[in-house]
Amino acid sequence: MALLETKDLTLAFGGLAAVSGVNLTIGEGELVGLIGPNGAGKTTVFNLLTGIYRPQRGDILWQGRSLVGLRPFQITQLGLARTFQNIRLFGELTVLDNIAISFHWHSRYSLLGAVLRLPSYYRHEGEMRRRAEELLELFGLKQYAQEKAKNLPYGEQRRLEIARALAARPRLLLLDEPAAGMNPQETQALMDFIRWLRQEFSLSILLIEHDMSMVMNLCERIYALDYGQVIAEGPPGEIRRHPRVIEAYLGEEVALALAGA
Amino acid sequence: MGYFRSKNIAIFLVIIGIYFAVDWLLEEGIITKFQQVNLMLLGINVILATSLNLIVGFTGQLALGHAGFMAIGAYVATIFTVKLGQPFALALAVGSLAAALAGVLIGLPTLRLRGDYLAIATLGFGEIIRGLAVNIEYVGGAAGIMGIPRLTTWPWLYAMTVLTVVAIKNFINSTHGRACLAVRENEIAAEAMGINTTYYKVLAFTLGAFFGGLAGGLYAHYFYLIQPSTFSFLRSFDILVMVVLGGMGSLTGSVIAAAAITLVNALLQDLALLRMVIYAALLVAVMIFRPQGLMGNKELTLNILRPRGGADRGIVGD
Amino acid sequence: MAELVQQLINGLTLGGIYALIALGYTMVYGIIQLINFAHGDILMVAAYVAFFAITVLKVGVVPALVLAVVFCALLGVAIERIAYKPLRQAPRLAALITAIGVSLFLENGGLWLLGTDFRSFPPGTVNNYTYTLLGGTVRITSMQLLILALTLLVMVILQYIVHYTKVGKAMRAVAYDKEAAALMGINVDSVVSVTFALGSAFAAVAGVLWGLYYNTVHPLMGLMPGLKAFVAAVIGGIGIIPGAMAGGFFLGIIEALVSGYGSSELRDPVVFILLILVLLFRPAGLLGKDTVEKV
Ligand SMILES: Nc1ncnc2c1ncn2[C@@H]1O[C@H](COP(=O)(O)OP(=O)(O)O)[C@@H](O)[C@H]1O
Ligand SMILES: [Mg+2]
Repeated sequence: MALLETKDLTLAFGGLAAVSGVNLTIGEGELVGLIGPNGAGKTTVFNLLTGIYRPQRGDILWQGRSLVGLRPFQITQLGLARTFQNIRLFGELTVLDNIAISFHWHSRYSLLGAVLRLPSYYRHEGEMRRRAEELLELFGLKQYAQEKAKNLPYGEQRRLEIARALAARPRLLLLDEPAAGMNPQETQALMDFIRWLRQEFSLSILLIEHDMSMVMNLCERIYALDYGQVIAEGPPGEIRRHPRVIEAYLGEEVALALAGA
Repeated sequence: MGYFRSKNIAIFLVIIGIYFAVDWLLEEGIITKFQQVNLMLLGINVILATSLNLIVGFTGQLALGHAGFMAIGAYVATIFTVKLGQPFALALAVGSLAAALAGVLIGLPTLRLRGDYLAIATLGFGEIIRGLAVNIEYVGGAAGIMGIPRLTTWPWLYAMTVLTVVAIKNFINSTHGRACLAVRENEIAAEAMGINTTYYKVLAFTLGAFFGGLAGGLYAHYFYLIQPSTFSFLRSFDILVMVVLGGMGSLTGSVIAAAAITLVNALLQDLALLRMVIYAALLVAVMIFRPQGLMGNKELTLNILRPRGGADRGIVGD
Repeated sequence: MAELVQQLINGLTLGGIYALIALGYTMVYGIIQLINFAHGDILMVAAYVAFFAITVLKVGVVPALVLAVVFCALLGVAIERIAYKPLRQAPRLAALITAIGVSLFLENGGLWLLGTDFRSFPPGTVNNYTYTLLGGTVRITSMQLLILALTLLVMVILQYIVHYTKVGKAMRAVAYDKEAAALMGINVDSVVSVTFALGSAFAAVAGVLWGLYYNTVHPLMGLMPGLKAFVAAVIGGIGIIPGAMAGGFFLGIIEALVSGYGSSELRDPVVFILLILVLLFRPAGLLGKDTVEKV
């Protein structure tokens, strides 16, 4: 059984069909790309998968179980975590706290334990701190642990977004344009990092990316979206030559990158 | 780690010290009747401000109906002592629980609303509570209830104030408090990180209401008399002003602001009506020149001399 | 039947005044997203200006009204310039607290300067005739007719300004997108000033009418009508001009019916219960449109 499967996923805003009839399948351990020109509906697919929007038609199956109607936090607790294209960190909180918040749902002590400072409080807080620091170490963010998240440099903020999503212990990680605003060296480093993450945490990953070379190099399988519809699906080699994909990207400078990649 | 760190012991000693010092001053009659009234008001205001800060400052839910919770606590506690002849402790507990229950009931539907709309709905809620009190003959209608025994003594007031502040502080510095902060910072991201934002909004609202109700019970049993007009939206504004002046998301800020406002009010007492004009002008001036309030979202801690980190609300593994 | 008609007439009168006040709330909210809690107190200031104009300057009602309107328009602009403008970039709550501060300032300044007495206009300030309809069972006073007429006149004027004048177009542009409007060369500051001037002028009309209708003035007289008008603006859909009018009349009629058929003590709770119901089921108000937040 696929890890995640969508059937005929559809959502319109007013008259605009942002996503229509999308069928996706993601297998255990796969690294899948989702591409498409600006406004194609990629982020909306993420918002549907994570329960932020409710589909008007179609279904989302997680290991055979429907996610439709669940609240976003319930979906996260089942094993889907995401990053946001427009960074949504907890800006006024420390980097460490940003991570700790994702630990919240799987490392709990009671309200009473918190207010009375029972031993469970000290035990769990110590444990959370240790694990948060480990994760920050892995992401090279340890020196920022006590900084406010909003004061981090842009690239570090993007990395913290991924670290935070990972702290929620997902089986499927959804990355929304993680390389946005990065230079080629940084993008290259990010690619290596994503590959390594996937091994280390045995993750499946669904990646939205505008940087074509990144998707083509990284992903095993790619879905191309245009006007809310899947126009092509397959391995990078096929997608690159697919006439409808080239057409969709025509006029964007990406077309050039595509031809060259 | 644990309870018996030197810092906790120091804080504990200071708290006990203040108690006995004031107790002695009261015994000796050095604190005048007038000062005593203001001392009690100060404690009650600290409870009101810190509990509202939990909702507005830490969880980011703009609520303008705190006086409504205070009213419920005051009326229910008074019914228990005056009408049912129950002990004060039970009356306070039931009053606070009733307010907390109202917090759940009003929170569940209204916390879907955001920002100004939530503010309006909670303001409306406070006015409904007041309006109901006017219409219920059992609690004296618009005239209210008179002749309430003065059961709020210094030990009661002090114990309840400390309890409130410590409970709220411990809550905030826990994983549950962090969940509330996450809601304030970015509700969508909080939800996406596995936090049941509805639960935490309602929880913050309920806890805030609980302590608001506690303040109401204490208030009723100090001032002999409660009337619906005591709990109008103007009182909710007063409490909000303390929170904002102290700094949203700063517990020590709320304590300082509640104390400062009570003191300024007491000092300007002789000016009568002019006092409120000055108060209003000061309020506007402070907002223009320091909109983030006295403390911003920082805390005053024993470590203020430490260069950095003292004010951080990081994981308190200490 | 006669009873119902009578309550409707009373409700429309009250609603007209609410609508006049609600316009100011909604216009200011539409432009700078501020709940201007001091708006109700403008009404009080206007009533006092008219009161002193009539009793001290011995002028007639119409010059008194004009004086009150001009005075309050200037006051509204001054308040915005001094208290709200410095806070346009500050957190929203700071501006809200400032508005509360201004409101407290006006109320307590009034109490301090003018005392806590209720005052009445001298007898004969307005000639109040009573007309009877439906065979003498329904009464309508010339004061009520005046209120309705003035309310309608103000609304027509406002619609004209907003839709057919340059400044009205600028107001709509600023309400839609402040930055874009500024880029298009619109002077946002003066648009905000005009908005406050207009809103305060309408509140002044409402204040003078209120004072004459109930024949009392008092420093805290703006508190409840201000809050109710604000509720009316929210019920109609805050930021929407026709919404404020609809909300005002709606609220006035509901209040009159509750007072007439229930009890006047129940009037306020009913209004606020209604407010919460509207917010829960139509959060953007009766005439508002719901929007989905973009993620
Ligand atoms: N909440 C919303 N309300 C209205 N339109 C929306 C909303 N979210 C997305 N859209 C529209 O849906 C389309 C797809 O958007 P999006 O999924 O963000 O595209 P992509 O991520 O592929 O660039 C766009 O035309 C966008 O304007
Ligand atoms: Mg996108």
